[in-house]
Amino acid sequence: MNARVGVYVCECGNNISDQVDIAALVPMLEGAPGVVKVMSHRLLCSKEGQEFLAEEVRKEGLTHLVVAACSPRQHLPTFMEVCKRGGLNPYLMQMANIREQCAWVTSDRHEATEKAARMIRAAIARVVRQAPLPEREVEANPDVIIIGGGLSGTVTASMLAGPERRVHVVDRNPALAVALTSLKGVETHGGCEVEAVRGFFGNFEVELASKGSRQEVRVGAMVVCTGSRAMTLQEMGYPGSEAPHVVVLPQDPESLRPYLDALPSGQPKVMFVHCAGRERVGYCSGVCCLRSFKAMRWMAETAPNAQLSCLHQDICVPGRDGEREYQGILGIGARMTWGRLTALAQQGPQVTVSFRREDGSIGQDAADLVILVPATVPNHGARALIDIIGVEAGPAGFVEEAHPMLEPVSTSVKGIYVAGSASGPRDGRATSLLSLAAAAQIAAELRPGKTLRLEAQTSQVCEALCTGCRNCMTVCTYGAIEYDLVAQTCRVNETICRGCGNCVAACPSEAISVKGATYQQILQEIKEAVR
Amino acid sequence: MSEAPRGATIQSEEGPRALVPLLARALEKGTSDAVLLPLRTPGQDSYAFVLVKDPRLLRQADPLPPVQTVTGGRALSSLTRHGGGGVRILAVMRPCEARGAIELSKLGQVDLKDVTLITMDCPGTVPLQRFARGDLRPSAVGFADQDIRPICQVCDLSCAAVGDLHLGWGEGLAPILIPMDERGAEALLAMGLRAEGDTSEWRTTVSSRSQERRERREERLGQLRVASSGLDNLMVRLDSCINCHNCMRACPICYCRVCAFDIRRQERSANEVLDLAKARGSMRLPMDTLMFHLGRMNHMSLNCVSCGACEDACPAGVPIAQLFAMVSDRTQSAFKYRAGMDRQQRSPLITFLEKELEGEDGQRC
Repeated sequence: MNARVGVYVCECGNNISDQVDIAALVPMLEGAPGVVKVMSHRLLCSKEGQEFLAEEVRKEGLTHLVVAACSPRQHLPTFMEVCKRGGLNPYLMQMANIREQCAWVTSDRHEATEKAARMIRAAIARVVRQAPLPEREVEANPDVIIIGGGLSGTVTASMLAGPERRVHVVDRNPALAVALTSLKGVETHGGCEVEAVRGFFGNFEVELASKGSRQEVRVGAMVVCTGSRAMTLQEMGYPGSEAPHVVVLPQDPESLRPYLDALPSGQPKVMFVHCAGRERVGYCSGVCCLRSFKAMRWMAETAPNAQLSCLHQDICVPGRDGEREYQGILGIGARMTWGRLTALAQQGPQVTVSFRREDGSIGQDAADLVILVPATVPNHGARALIDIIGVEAGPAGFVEEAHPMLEPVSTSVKGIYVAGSASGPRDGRATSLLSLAAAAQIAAELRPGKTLRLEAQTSQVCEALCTGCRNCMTVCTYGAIEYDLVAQTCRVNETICRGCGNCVAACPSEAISVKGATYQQILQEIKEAVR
Repeated sequence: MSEAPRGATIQSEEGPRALVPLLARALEKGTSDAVLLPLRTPGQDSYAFVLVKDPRLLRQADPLPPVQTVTGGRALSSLTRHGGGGVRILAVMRPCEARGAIELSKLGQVDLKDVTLITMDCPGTVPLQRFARGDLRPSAVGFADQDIRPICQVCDLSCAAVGDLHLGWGEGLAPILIPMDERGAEALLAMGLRAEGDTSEWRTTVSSRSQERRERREERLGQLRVASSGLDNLMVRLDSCINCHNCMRACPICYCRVCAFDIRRQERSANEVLDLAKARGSMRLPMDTLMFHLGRMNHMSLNCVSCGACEDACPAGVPIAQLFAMVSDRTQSAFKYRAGMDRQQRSPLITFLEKELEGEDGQRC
């Protein structure tokens, strides 16, 4: 079948016609190979213009369409829709950008017209070599994988699991909470780690590995719920912190009981030291003052004869209950001292605590038990996971939110969410809130039955040319390329490929091309442009 | 190994041939399955890489032949391209050939997993064409500087210890086998030797040899750069090219199954050729001579090891290896890369950094 190319030049109001001589341009294009009609139009993207163009495609029986107008970044989808309305495969349309790349940047009217003609001729040379590409859609996978089975993982899972949505919870810990394992619609993978992630929102393939076995899970979205942990004594690195009567405040104050039992009789001194490790991590964890005060209150009740003191810096107890808790501590007679911990030393039965006061002078105090209130840091393994799934991390190693206020549970990767303290130190309330927010966002964005349009312009490997060097695999950000061990060549997974073209550039053998942007198509376009 | 390596001195007058009985011993001991090394061909007038399993056949071996026929990297690629299959190989070759093998391993064309590379100080090779004509017979080749190839005369990595095991030798220097890593140490042990000798004498010799060559390289390639600057002058250098593409076929690094320049899509229609001829006044045909060489340079200069196989293969005397060296010295240094020297460093064009070449002023290549 002979090509019937229609060329439509948009004047873009006056944007193009001011600088390009449309009346001179149109005859320059007539007679180009395959061209059956050249016409100009006042504003092709207007409603009337779109209808006109769709009608022209039908009426003229066009096999290819060239739209000479603005940047495809602005109106490519518009004119692809027009093609569909006119019964033409949208990949048989090519835009020539004679506004941004021509009218707006070329001062001489004659030159601009000449250049526009070249660009349009190049687009004609390209479009006749384009092939129709099928539009492909897949149903988005509504299932969700949650990485981490702590508080945030449990809350998120319980909100999302239902008859239409399966939720997978992975945790490196083999024993997961009953609250999780007993949930309907939740599949737990204890003792597993995420090994690799391929794909994109609505269509992820997650590889899980546990001791000796691996499995693949297909989901539509991911939630990072890896949580946080207390900094250890070693990580804080205070001199003398190995002293036997120095301890890090545990999650549950009850665990302090053995230390209380070992305290001398009489009026033993117990000192809480705030902001332990704060200078090293470089941020205020914000949740520790309140935890410390609650532990002090517990201690005042459990060991009423103990003399409590507190070495603190700024006290951070926002919210409804914070102030009450603080006043309570003052009420039980705890001695408050401002100071920055510098060193610890076991001297006889007591620990000497050295600190720097606000004015820079050095102070010292002694206590029978020193409890360090630790900074909160990302959980073990969070860094490795962040690298595997490819989300951005902040300097402290927490997952970075897409926006701290507006998108607090989204990450830099669409379809990967973060909840709880994986994105920063949180108390239980904030953890639950963020987890509920992540669940709500997924419920809204990944409704069961949602369809995803797959990229039509995917890349393809010519097996005869591929040498199996796998350069393409190292540059593919979607993990869309596999190495076929039998054929010893690479192969593109077309449901994952997004057509970015990285692999084309990386292939030394020119064995890869992107459909709709093949070497031949681009080469002919360039040849025409520079003729 | 951070401290200076130690080596095993060999009592021998034969230079690189001293390796032969040691390789035989390693084979007999069974720690390696085969040796890949150059052997004198049965006609006695050439050399080829042969995979030897029988230690007795090693008698024909010449670890350092006076010519380079097929390069070692290419031989190793044909052997291990589809995976080494667990065969433990001792591969003996010149430093440039070993660097080729290392580059190929980065490109997925050589599997070094079970290969112990053995390299040695190389005095250079004579031009293949002179050798083939019979101007220089094996026995007559003395490795005098004026007889070796121009690219060898400016080789500053002729003593690069890139193998797992490296043989140092030369004028007034007793042969010394130096393990460069764990694998080399194991091979040395299998040969019944211990690395107890001091290597400072060898290191001093190599450093002064390399320095001398580096200066000469700068000077000669600098002259070539001046003589071939600009497309017109470059075309003069490529004048005698007959479009046979032999340079591409002999290159150990050029590993595409089909070269883009051998593909139909590169060919132009008569109309296009006429258009170009009209625009320029005349057209040399076939018309891709310059594009072929520039294209190949574009693809390969970052991985070029200056082995000179291309120049040896050129029937028309184009100084193609020198032109490649002239370009690749600069392109590689722009990426702080020297092809085949560091097995860990990834090839520049497949390493993506978010901010590369930023803040570097001035000419990069």
